[in-house]
Amino acid sequence: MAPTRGRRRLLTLSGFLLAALTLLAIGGPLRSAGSGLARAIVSPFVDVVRGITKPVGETFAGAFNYADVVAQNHQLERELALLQLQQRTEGFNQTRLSELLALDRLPFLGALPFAVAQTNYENLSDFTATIEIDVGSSAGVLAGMPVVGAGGLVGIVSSTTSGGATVTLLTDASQSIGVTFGSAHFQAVVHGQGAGQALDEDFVAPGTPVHRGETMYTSGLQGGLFPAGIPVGTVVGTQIHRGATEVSISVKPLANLSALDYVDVVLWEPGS
Amino acid sequence: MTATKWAWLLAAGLVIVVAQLTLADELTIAGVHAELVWVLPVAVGLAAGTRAGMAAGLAGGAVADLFLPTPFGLTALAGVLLGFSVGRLGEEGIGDLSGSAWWVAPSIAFGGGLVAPVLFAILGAALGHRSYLSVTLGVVCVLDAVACALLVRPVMRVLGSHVVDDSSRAGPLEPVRGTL
Repeated sequence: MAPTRGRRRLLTLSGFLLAALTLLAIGGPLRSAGSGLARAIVSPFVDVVRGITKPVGETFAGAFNYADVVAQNHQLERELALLQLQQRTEGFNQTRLSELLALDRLPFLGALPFAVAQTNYENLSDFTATIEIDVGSSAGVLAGMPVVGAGGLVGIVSSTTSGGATVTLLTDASQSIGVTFGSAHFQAVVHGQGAGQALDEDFVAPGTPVHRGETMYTSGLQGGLFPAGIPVGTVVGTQIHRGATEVSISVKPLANLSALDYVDVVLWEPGS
Repeated sequence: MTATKWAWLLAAGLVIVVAQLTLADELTIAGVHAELVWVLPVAVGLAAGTRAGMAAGLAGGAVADLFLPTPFGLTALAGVLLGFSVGRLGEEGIGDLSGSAWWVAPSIAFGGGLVAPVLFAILGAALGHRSYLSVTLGVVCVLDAVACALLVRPVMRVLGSHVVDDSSRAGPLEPVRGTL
């Protein structure tokens, strides 16, 4: 009796595994067909529950973190003053920079069109660092386009539907971004290490002058994934191991990736 | 498994997605949050046995996969294996859940929640997504384990009687009778 039961159980397991593997094999079309329907079913409930839980959560956050809110307000005031100052000098700098980049035939962020997008969902999975935005192919958004906002580079569009897109954040472990830094325009590559983690930088030779707080920008080299001049992050730590051929550099993203209510999709395709 | 039971599992999967998007995703530690999708195969596997646990893993995983940026079907695959393992442990390791101490089901669920993300990451890595085996995996495991342990008994209570597939079993916390 026992072997029969065991065999039956094994057969059932095989059947379920086969079903799951079939889903994996034909996943793309199934997801495209089912995702819109599932979101349409779930969205009203999500809105209702968020409508109930959000005020409660914000009340608690305000009550227990009031000092933080005041500190953030002061910081925002300082940042606003700094931005106003930068804005007054930006026109001149942009003209100079776009002229220089045009000479090198490199794309420049300031000259490119944007599509403003609202973030629907953030970090749906613990295994990928992504956000879902509410503009898609119908607004001209295509896979591979860079996304900026909240102070710097946010990530890259990884997939689109007609009314939405998934953006893979620069902290995702699959991301590699060519950057430039310093007055001598040193080149390097930064890699994502997972959501909430600092970026890791390599291809920097020992002796390269790199300082804590230094800002890294996209290099925009020909064939690069991003236009030149998008701020990526600041250096938060450097380390060189004995006998190593590279400096280990830790970079903190400039964009506040935990507060991405709105982002801008740069309507620019890699290689264009 | 009848169509009604599959419908219950799909509905439970959608409810879990709503809870995930509204509550669990807001509570992050070290940039990660608890993934509630594993609660379904664990609770159903304990309440209703191996076959129902696997069905819960497949249905709940497929629903979750519609919302996740990870490969479609990967959560379902991990869910089937989790439902099978927990179901077998519930049937043959513990047997009489209603007669056991209150902490037995949460303890098994804690173990299931601890293993599920590792299983998912290994399957993902086998499919070429090596980045899933990241440094935050440990935190994910702990959060998922805690979520499973906290939610397993309520989910068993609500869902168990609707998905029991074994006629020898009376309810969600009843033992499998006469199987040995």
